[in-house]
Amino acid sequence: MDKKLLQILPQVSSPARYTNGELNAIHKDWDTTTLKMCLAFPDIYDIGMANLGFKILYHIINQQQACLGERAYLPWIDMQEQMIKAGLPLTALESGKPLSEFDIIGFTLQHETSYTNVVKMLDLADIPRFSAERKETDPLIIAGGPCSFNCEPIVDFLDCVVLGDGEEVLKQILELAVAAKEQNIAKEELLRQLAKLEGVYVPRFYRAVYNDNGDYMGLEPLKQDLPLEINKNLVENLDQAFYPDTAIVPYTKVVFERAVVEVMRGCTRGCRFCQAGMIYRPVRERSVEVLKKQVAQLIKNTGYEEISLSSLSTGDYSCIQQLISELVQEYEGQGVSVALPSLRVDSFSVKLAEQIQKVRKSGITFAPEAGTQRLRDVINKNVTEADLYDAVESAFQAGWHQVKLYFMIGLPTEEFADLDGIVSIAKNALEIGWKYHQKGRRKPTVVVSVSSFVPKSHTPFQWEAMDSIEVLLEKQAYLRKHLSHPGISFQYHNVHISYLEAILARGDRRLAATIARAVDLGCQFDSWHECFDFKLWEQALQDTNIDGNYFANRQRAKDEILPWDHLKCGVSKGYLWREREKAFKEETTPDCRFTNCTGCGLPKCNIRDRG
Amino acid sequence: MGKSIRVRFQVKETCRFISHLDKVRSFERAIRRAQLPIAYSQGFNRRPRFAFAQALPVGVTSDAEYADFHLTEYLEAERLKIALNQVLPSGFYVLEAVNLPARAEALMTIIQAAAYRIKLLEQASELPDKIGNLLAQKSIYIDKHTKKGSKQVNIRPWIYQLELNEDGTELSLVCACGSQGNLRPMDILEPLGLKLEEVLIHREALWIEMDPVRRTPIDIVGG
Ligand code: SF4
Repeated sequence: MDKKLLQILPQVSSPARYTNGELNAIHKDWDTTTLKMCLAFPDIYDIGMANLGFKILYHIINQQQACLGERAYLPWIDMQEQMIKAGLPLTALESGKPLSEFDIIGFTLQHETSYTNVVKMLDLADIPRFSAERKETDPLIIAGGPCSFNCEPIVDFLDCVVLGDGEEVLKQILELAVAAKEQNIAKEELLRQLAKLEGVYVPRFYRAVYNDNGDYMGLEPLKQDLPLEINKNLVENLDQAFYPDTAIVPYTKVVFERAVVEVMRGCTRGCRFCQAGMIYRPVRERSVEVLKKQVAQLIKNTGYEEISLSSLSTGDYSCIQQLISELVQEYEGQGVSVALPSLRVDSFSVKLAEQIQKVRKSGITFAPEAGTQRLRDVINKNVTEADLYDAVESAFQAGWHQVKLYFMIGLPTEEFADLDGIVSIAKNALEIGWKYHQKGRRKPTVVVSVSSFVPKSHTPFQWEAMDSIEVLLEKQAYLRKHLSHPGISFQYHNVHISYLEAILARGDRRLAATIARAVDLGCQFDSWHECFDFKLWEQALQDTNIDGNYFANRQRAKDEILPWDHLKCGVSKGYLWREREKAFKEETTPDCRFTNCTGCGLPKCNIRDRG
Repeated sequence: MGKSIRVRFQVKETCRFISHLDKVRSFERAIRRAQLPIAYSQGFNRRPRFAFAQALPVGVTSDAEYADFHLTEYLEAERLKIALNQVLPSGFYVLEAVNLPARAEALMTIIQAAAYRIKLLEQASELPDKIGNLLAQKSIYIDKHTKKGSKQVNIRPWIYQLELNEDGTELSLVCACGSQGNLRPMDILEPLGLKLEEVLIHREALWIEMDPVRRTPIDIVGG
């Protein structure tokens, strides 16, 4: 280990994040591999280690004979300071090589509030921030993840963006990059080749056009033969998709430490606020047989004590009952437990949770999202009052003492009556709790967690205005007042962070300057409450002449050209508009998996084609 | 012979910063991966039954970590050693393993003393004098932070031996370690005018007996 690093480590918090050598990490030989790619996670190690896509891609890169794949995370602030003081650049964990020596850096964009972290990582790596400033010898900067569907605000920093499932397209990208390196093909030419791949967007080949009012009018291709629309990549059969049989086991406690299998991808419940539900369509399941094989391999190779069944809505997996019983039976004796990441709001889900969680130590969480039936119909959260109270009742009855309920405020059409609905749900839930925990030493508690609704691209609410900061604060205060009740605790998200998220979620290329300015002013880790500084962001917006409200709080017209119109997730704009219209009429749309196709427009869909 | 096995293992540079609890968990996972016939505790939260000797302070490497594994059947110690080394992360390495007699005393209760080597990364001034002064004192009080707040403890009786090597690059320390008295090697740095980032600390040995001969937790088993 570098002597400077040796001396730095005892002075920073959680130094084990930076020491490498974890079990199952892959150390390929630097000198004998042609192409080096570093996956970069724009947050700290502890969080990045939980990301499933990152794990899959890491193994795919290393599977390619000519390629070496490593990882880098954003060091925490104390470590950054020490590195700068000692003159150390950002390095990859495995080899300790500076990021600038890699051929490709691959960022994952999980949420908009990590954009400053992306820029920060480039800064720490001594790589020029803007794609236009980078030279032939600088690494190619690519990005993927959910935010690639509305990536315009950050594209000036990137050389190419990958839409949708990365498993297959990454291999094609690597193949082209290896060939380019072997044959000394210029970066520009390589990008042209990449731009021809399905689902790969090379932003610098297009120019954004604005009218005199400063409204975005679309993209203009700067070269011939460029696609005007980028269609996402889709892995049609999950059973045949690559899945690593091993996983890196961190030395230290990180956010999630479990053997993760992905039971399905996509969700068709059709919640109208939810971007993931739209961009990951259609639903694709893995078979129980394949999943059990993957679990066995993972447990054998990692020794993890918990198996997590991951997906957007695991309760909807068609063989969930069978899968859980078989896993519990097989692994109980070895001290390995099963975990479900998300619970549906009904008693069936509580039964599932009961089976796997023998000790009721932590609370149980449900997400009704809105306080009245009316508003739940607007957002198409198909949960009835009866479902909700059933779920709460079963949870308290099964021995849980704490029920946590997630809601959103600021949803379209919301009124104070809907907030009152949240209050009465919380009180009724507590009442139910008392029925089952009267005698015990531990009292029942209800936690109400409230986040602010942020309109997202590719959803039926992509045209809506977000509530202003003032209104959201008022609504928070209202809830705080009415929920101050023994046994109920109230948690809420930082409204200003949501406002920033809203700007970046529907912004255009002009925001790149704002992001860069924000980093210069000291912004990073914007999703961390303790680091977020709204004043600095206000300053950055002002310095770059951007009106945040224009992006966050403005109602868009039906025919407005949107900065993500060219980035296609498969669901049609017409469908989204129809869903929006239904929302305002308080009409619901059922889940197409369990009824009929509702015509979302996907070009390839196994559910619709099933008939 | 009983069904338990005692091992001595190394903690190398890459995992010196992980906490005691994280070390325990690394071994739990290794045991699961090696599919050893380990005994499990009873109850809801079933944990594999093994125990470490005195916790190694975070940041310190070691050649003298000990652990007892309680198995459900007799297994030749050497086989456990090989199996563990195949599955442990590269920061750990099992150096030796012995089968324990049926009623061996728990590791935790028998440790008495430890030996450390403290490598100096920077040139330190006047160290011989400072060591002389330190050892000449009858009592050296330092702040110990506990859950209940901090209190002053006298660490002087726990320092058995402290020497600087000939070229002045390394200190060797023998001190109390265990439930009867426990000196963290970093506690002597401040009195010597040294900072944590200026040294590398390595645990060389743990002893269960000092007089008349020094014996390790494995020596007693060997007889
Ligand atoms: S195409 Fe039809 S069946 Fe397929 S996801 Fe869309 S609405 Fe559902």
